[in-house]
Amino acid sequence: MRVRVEEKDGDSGDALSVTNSHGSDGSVLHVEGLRKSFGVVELERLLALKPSEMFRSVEAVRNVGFTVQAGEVYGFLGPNGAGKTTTIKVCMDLIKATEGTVRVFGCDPRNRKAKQRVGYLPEHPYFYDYLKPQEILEFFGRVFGIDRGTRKKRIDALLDRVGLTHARNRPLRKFSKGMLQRLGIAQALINEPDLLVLDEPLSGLDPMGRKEIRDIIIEQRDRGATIFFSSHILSDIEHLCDRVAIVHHGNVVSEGTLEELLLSEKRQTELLIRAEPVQIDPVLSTLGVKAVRLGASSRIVIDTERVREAIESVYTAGGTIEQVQPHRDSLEDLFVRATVGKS
Amino acid sequence: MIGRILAVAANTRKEAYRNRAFLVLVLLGLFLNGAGLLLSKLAVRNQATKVIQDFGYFSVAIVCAMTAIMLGIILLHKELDKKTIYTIVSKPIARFEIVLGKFWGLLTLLVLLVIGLGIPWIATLWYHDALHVGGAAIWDDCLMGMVLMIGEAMIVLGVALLFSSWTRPFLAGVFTFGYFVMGRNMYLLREYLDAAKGPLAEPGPLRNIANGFTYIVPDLDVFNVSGEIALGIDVHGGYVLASTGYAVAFTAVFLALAALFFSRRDLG
Repeated sequence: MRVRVEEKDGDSGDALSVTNSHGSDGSVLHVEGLRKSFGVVELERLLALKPSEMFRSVEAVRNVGFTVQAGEVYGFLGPNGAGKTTTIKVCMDLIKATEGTVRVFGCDPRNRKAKQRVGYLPEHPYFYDYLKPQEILEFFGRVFGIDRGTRKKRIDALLDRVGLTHARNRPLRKFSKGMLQRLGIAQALINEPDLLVLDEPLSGLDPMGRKEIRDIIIEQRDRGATIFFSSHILSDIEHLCDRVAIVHHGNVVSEGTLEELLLSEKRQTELLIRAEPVQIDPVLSTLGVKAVRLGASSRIVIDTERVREAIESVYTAGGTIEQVQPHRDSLEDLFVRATVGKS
Repeated sequence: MIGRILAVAANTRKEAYRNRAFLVLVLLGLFLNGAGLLLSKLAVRNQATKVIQDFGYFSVAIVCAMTAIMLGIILLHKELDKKTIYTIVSKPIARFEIVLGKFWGLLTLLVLLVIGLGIPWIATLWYHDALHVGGAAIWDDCLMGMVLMIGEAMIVLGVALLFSSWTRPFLAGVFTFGYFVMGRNMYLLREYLDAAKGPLAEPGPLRNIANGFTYIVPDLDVFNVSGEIALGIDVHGGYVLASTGYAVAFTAVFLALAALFFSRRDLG
C-alpha cells in the first residue's frame, strides 16, 4: 500500500506555527491524488463458507485533486455517493487518506494551528440532545480558546444571525432539522474562520432557510473568508461559486471557473427572432432547427458557423433579429455531460 | 491543553447528568438504599444493622459502577453514532484530549454521584443508630469506602472508554461488564494461585495464563471494604491511598490505550 499522506505537521500542532496565511502556492486547501478505501467485512461470505472472500475493500474516493485559493467560493459538486463527503472528511481530519496529499493552509489537516482557522459544518449536523444552543456554542468557543467576553458577544451575535435567539435555552433534542442546520452554521462561524468548509449546507432546508444560509455564505465571502462547500443542488453552486469541481465515482471529472466550464464548448449561438410563424417556419425548416416560442418572438440555438446564413435567411423572409448571443450551457448541462457521460 | 480538556469535561458532565439513564440510575441507588431498610425488618434480631450497612454499601458501589459502564459507553457511542464527534474533532483539539475530557467529566460526575448516594446511606445508618460496630464508630470507614468506590469507578470508566474507542457499543458494554465481573472475582483467582493444591498450584501453561490475567485485570475486590465496615475493622488511610494509586495506575494504562485507538480510528 502506498501511503504518502504528509505527516510532518501532525498532532503536535502547538509546537508548530502556520507562518503564512496559505500554502506555498497561495492555496488555502490543496488536495492531490486523494484516494480513500474502506475495509468491508461481509459475514454472509463466511456463512457461505467462503472466508477468504469475507474481507474486501471499497474505494470511496479514487483520484480527487483540486486547489482552493484564498478568498474564493469553491463548489464541490457531484451526485450522491460521488465521494464528496469522504473527501471533506479527510480534509477535516476525521478519516485518514489511503493515498494522496491534503494540505490545509499549507499544513497537514491534523495541524492544530490550521484547524484554528477552519470552520466546518458536517452534513446533517447533530449535537448533544440535552444541551442548549448557548451551551454548545460556549463549548466550541472554549475549545478555540476564545476569551469569555468575546465568546459571549459572538454567541449572541451568531444566535441572532442564524435566527435562534428565541431558542437559545431550548434543549437541542427539541430542535427541527432546519434549526440544527442553523446551529451548525453558527458553530462553524464561532472562530471567524478563514476557511469555511460546508458539507451540503442547503440540503433539507425550506426556501427561506436556504436563502438565509446563502446570504450568510455571501457575507462570509465579503468578510474575506474562503468558502468550500459541497452540494448536489446545481442552482446553489451556480449562484454562489467562483470555481467548481465536479466529482463522480470518486474522481474529479471537471474543474475550473464557471465561465471556463460553461463556455468551454461555445460552439452554438442563440438568436431571438421576431417574425410571424408563417414567415419564419420555412426558414427554420431549411436551417434544420427548432424554435421556442416566446410571445411574438422565437428563440433558436444554432451552430456558430451558421449564424450568418441564419440571419440572412430571417431577413430575407421578412423577419428581424432582436438578439444574438453565445449559447451558454447551464450547469445542469455540464453536470449531466460530466457525470452521465462518464458512467 | 487543560482548558480544552476541561471544556470537554464540562460538556460531558452536563450531557450526562441531564441524560435520563443517569436519572434512572440515581433513583435505582436511592431505591436500593430504601430496600435495605425494608430487608432489615426481615432480618433476625441482631443482623438488622448489618443488612442496612451492607445493602447501603452495595447500592452505592453497584450504581456507581453501572453508571461508569453505561455512561462511558452510551455517551461516546452517541457521539460516534450521531456524528456529533465530527464537529469536535475538526476543531483544534487533539483526540487524546477528547478522551481525557470525557473521562474527567464522567469521573467528576461519579464523585458527585457517590457523594449524593453516600450521604443518604450514612444518614440512614445514623438514623438507625448503625454507625457503630461493637462500640467503635464506623462513619470514617464509610467515608473511606466511598473513596474506594470512586477508585473502582475510575477503573471501570477507563475500561468502558477503552472498549468504546474501538468497538461497537453493544460489544463494548458486554466486554466492560465482563471485565468488571472478572475484576470483582480476581481475588478467587489469586486464592487459587496462592493455594498449595488445586488446578493452578502446579507450574504450567494454565498457571502462567492465570498469572498473566492478574497483570491485565485489576483486582476490584481491593476496593470493596463492606466486610471490614460490617465487622468494625478500621479501613486505614494508607490502604485507601495505596488502593487509589493502584486504580490510577490501571486507569492511566487504559486511558492511554483508549487515546491511542481513538487517535487511529477513522470516524467515517
